[in-house]
Amino acid sequence: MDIINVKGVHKTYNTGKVKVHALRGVNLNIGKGEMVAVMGPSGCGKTTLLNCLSGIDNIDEGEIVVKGNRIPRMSDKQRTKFRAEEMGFVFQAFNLLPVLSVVENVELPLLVSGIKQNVARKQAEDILELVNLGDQRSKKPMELSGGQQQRVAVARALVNSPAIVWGDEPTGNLDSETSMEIMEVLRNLNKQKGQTFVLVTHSDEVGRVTDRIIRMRDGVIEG
Amino acid sequence: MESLKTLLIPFMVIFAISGVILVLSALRNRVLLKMAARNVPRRPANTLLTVLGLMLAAMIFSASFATGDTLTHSIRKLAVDYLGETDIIVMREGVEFGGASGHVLESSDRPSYFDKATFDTVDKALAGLKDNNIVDGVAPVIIETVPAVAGSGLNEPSVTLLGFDSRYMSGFAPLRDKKGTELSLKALEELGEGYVYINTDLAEALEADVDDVIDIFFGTQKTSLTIADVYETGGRPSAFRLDSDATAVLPLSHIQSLRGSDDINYILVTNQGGEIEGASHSDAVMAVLEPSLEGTGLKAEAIKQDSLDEADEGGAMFSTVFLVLGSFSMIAGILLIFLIFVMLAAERKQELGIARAVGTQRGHIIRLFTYEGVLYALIASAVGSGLGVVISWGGMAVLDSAFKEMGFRIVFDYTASGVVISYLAGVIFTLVVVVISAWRVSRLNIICAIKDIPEPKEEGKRGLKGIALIILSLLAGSLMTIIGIQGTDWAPYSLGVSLLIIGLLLLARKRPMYLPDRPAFTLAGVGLLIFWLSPTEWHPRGEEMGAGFEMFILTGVMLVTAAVWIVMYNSDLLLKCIMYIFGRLRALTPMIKTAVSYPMASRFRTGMAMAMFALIIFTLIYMSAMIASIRGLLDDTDRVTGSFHIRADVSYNNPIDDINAALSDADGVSADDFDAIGAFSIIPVTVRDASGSTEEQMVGQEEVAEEGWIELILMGTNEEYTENVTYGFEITNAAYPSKEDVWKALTENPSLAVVSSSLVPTKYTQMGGGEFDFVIGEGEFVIEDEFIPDDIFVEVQNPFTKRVEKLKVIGVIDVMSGPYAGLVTTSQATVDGIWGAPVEPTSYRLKVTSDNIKHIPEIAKALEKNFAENGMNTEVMEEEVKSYMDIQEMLLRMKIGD
Repeated sequence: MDIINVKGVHKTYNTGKVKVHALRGVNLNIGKGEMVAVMGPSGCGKTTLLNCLSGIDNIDEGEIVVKGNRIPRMSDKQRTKFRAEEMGFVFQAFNLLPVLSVVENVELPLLVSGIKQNVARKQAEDILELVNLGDQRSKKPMELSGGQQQRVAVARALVNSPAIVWGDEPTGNLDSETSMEIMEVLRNLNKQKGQTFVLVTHSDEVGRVTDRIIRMRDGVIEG
Repeated sequence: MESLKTLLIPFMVIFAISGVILVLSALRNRVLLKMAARNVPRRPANTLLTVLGLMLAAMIFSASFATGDTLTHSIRKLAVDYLGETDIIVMREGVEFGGASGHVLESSDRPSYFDKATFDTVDKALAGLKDNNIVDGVAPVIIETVPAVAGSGLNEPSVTLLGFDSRYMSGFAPLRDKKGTELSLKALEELGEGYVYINTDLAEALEADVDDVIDIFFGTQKTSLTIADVYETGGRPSAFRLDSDATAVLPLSHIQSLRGSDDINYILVTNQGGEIEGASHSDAVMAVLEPSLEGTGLKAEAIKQDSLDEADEGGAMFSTVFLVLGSFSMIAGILLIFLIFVMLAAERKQELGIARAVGTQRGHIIRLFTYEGVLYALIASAVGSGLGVVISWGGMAVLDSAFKEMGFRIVFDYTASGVVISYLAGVIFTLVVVVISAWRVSRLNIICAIKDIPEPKEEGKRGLKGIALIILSLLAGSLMTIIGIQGTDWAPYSLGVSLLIIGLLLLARKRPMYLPDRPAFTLAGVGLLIFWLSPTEWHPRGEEMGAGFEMFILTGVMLVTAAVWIVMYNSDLLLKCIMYIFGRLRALTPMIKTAVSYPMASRFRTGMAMAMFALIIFTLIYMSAMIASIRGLLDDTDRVTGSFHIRADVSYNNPIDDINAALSDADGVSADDFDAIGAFSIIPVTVRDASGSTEEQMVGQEEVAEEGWIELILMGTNEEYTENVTYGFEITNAAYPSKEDVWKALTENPSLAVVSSSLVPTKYTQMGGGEFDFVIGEGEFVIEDEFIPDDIFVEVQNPFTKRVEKLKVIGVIDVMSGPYAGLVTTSQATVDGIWGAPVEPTSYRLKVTSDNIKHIPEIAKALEKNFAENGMNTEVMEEEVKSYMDIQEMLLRMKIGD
C-alpha cells in the first residue's frame, strides 16, 4: 500500500534574474514501510523533491498525497502540525539546537506538538537508548562526536513515531565507517517499526542498504 | 508631565496583563522559555550590546521625567521660598504682585495703597473660614521695594521692605535668627521708630550687623534705621528677584508714619497647612474672598497656587521638550531593537529553520523571541531607568552651575512614579517592537533557513493581507489628508499624503502592474522628498495650516525614510560611482567592491542601520544648526540690545529727575561717557485689541466694557531713545516703511504704538508667538504680511482712573528684541496722558561712546554707586544676552548628549 503518491509535480525557483526549473513533472509512488534512496547528480532536484514531499516547500503544479493528505492544499499551520506528528527529519549537518541538551533536542518535536513534558521525556529517553545514547542525554550537542550527533538527530526524527522519516544526505558529513553505523541504525529502526524512510544521498553504499533506488536527472525521475 | 504620569496605571495594567499572558504561555511550553533563557548567556558580548540597545527607551523616558521633576521641584521651591506661608494676596486692581509668579517686580510696578478699613471687611469675610480651620491668618501689610545704603558706603538697590503688624502675624511663619530663635515683632514695635530687622542676605550685602545703622530711601526721604537683629528665615513674601533676596521688616505703623498715611497696599492670607499643602485651600478661600471685594476696587490672587501651577507647567514643558527632542533617539532605539532581533535571527537562521522543519510553529518562534526579548527588556529597562536618573542628575548639575550665577538654584529631584513609568514604558516599548520583529523573523523560509541562503523574492504576490494593507493605506491616507486640509493642520495632512504615496508604492508593486523594486522605491522616495521639502504655497490651504512640534519628528522620520529608500534601491549605481572615483587605484578595487557589496546584500538590515544613523545624524545636525544660529546671534547682539549697552532701572520711589544733570555731579562717570541715554516711563495698564473697528477713535473715553482686558506694562520712550535705537521691525504700517519712520512717528504722534512680536498672530499659529493669550489684530493680519493694515488698534486703559486711549499699531518690533523692547511701547507723552500726570522715567538704556566700549562694566558699576539712593540696578546688556544664550546652548547640548 502506497504512503506517498506524487503526480506531475513541477517546481520552479526564482533566483533573482534566473528561473530554475527544479522539478519537471515528477511522478512517484512509495509504499508504506519502504526504505528508498533518491540519488542523482548535484542539482538534479533530489533535495527539492524531498522538501516538497515533506511540505517544507511549495510546488507550482501537480499533486502530492502523503498518508492520504493532500500536502499542497494544507495551510502552513496544518503542514507544520502534520510534520510534527507524522514526519521525522535527518539532515546532513545534524542541525541540533546548541542551547538544548541531547534529550531536550530529542523531545522538542513532542513538546511543540503539545505532548506533556513527562511523557515526552520518557519517549525521548527510550529512543536515545535505541540509538545507544542513553548515557549521553544530559550533554550538549557540541560535546558529542559527529556520529553521535547524527544519532541524536535520528532519535529526534523518530521520537514521535512518525510514519515517514526524511533524510537529506544523512551521512554526508560522516566518515564511511560512521556512515554505515548510522545506516545500520536506520535500517534496524525501519525493520523494527515499519516506518517509511526516504533518503536523499550521493552515496552508493547508502543506496545499497535501501530497498529501492530512485534516480533523478534534470528534475525528472529516470526509468 | 503630570498628564504623562497618568499613564502609570494603564502601563501597570498592560504590564500585568502582558506578564500574566507570557507566564501562562511559558508554563504551557517550557521548552521555549528554556531555549530563550539559554540564549541570553550564550554570547555575553552580544547580550551586553543588546541590553545597551534596549535600555535606550527607558533611559530617555527616565531622564526626561527626572528633568521635569527637578525643574518642577526647583521652581516650586523658588515659589515657596519667596512667598513663605502667604497663599493669597489682596491688592488694588491693576497692580501685579511681583511674587514668584514669574513677574519681576519692576520698579515701575507702582503698588497702590488703599484704606486700611478694607482690611476689616476682608478679615470679617474670612472669619468663618478661620473658625473652620481653613484660614490660619489674615494680615494688613505694606510691601515696598526700596534702596538701602550702609554707613560703609555699600548699598543694596532693591530691598523688599515689609511692614508687619504683630497683632495679625501669628498665623504666618515667624522671623528666626541663625540659631533658630524667634525674633519678636512686638519687641521691634516696642523699640519704637528707628529700628529694623534685616535678613542675612541684606546683612551680607551691606556688611552690616546688629546695632549698625543703615539708610533706606522712601522717595527722596532718607530714613536711618538701627539694625535690631538679623533673621535667617521668615520675612515673606518678598519681591521675586533672582539676583537679590534682601528683605527688611519694619513695624507697619512705622512705615505708615513715614508715608504720613494709615493706608496699606496688600492684605496677606495664609491658609491652614504647610507652605505647599496650604495652597490647596485656595479655591475655598477665593470663593468667599472674591464676592467680599466686589466694588472695593481690590482683587484677590491665589498667588501660591498659581505659582505652584506655573511651576508644574514649567517642569512639564521642559520634560515634554526633552521627550520630544529625545524622540529621534527613541525612534533610532526602535530601529536598533528591531535590528538587534533581526540580526539575532540571522545568526540563528539555520537553527530556526530546523526547529520549523521538525514541527515548531510560527507562533512558537514568535514566543521564543518574545521570551528572549522580554528577558532582555526586564534587565535593560531597569538599567535604563536608573541610568536616566543619573544622566538627568549630571545634566541638572551642569545646568545648576549656569543658573547659579543668576540666583536660581536647580535642586535635583525625581519621583518614584517617574522611574516606575519609565521602567514600564521601556519594557512595554521593547515588548511591542520585539513581538513585531519576532513576527517578521517567524516568516522565514524553512529551506533557505536550513541552507542559510537568501530568501526568494515574492514578486507581486497577490496576498489578501497585502491587498488589505494597500486599501488601508490609501483609505487612511485620504482620510487624514482631508482632515488635515479641513482642519488646517499640517500633521494629519502631511502624514495622510505620505500614506497615500506609500499606498501607491505598495499598489504599484502588486500584479498585474508589478513595478520592480528600483523604480518603485525610488519614485516613492523622490515623491516623499518633494512633498516634505516643498514650499508651503504648493499645498492646499498651506498658508493657513498650523503645526506643532510633532512636525519636527514627522519631517525627520519621513525625510530619512525617503532618503534611505533612494540610496538602498540604487546602491548598485552608488557602487559604480564609488568604483569610478576610486577604481583607478587598483589595489583598492577588490576591497571597495567587497566592502560595499556585503552590506548591499542585506538591504533590509543595511537600510535599517542606515536609517538609524541618519536619524541620529539628523538630530545632531539640527541641534548643531540651532547652536550655531544662537552663537551667530552673539555676533549680532545689537539686534537684541538695539545698540544700547547698559540697562539701568531705578526705584519708582525715588526716580532721577534729570539723569543728564545728575551725571554732571557723579563720581567716576559723566554724561560725556554716553552717546545716548534712552529713558522709559513705565506704568501698569490694561489693554485690549481694538482692531478692525470702524468707530471713530475713542481717545479719552471714560466708560468701557470690562471684557477682553488684560494687564500689561506700557512703556513710554523719550526722543533720545527713538533717535538712537536700532531695532528693526518685522512688519510696519505702509505709511511708515522704514524703521526710522516708525521710531520718529512714535515720538511725534501720541496716538501711535509699536508692539512686541509675541502679541501678534503668525500664519502658522494664528496666535501670538509669546506666552500671552492676548493677540492684536487676530484675523486682520499676520506677521508674515507685507504691511500692517491701517485699522489695527490697541486700547490702553489706566486701571485706576479707567481712562482709555486708543493707539494705532504701526510696527511689530524685531522678534530678537524680545527681552528689552517691551510689549507695548509708545511715547512718554502718551504715558503721561494715560496716567494723568507726568511719569518719571524708571528705566534707562545707555549707549556708551566708542572710546568707552571696553569700560562698560566699570561704567555700569559707577552708575549703581552714584545712584544707590535711587535704587539703581544696572545690567551690561551684552553679558545678559550672552548668559541667556549660554543657557540655551547648554540645554541643546544636553539634548545632543542624549
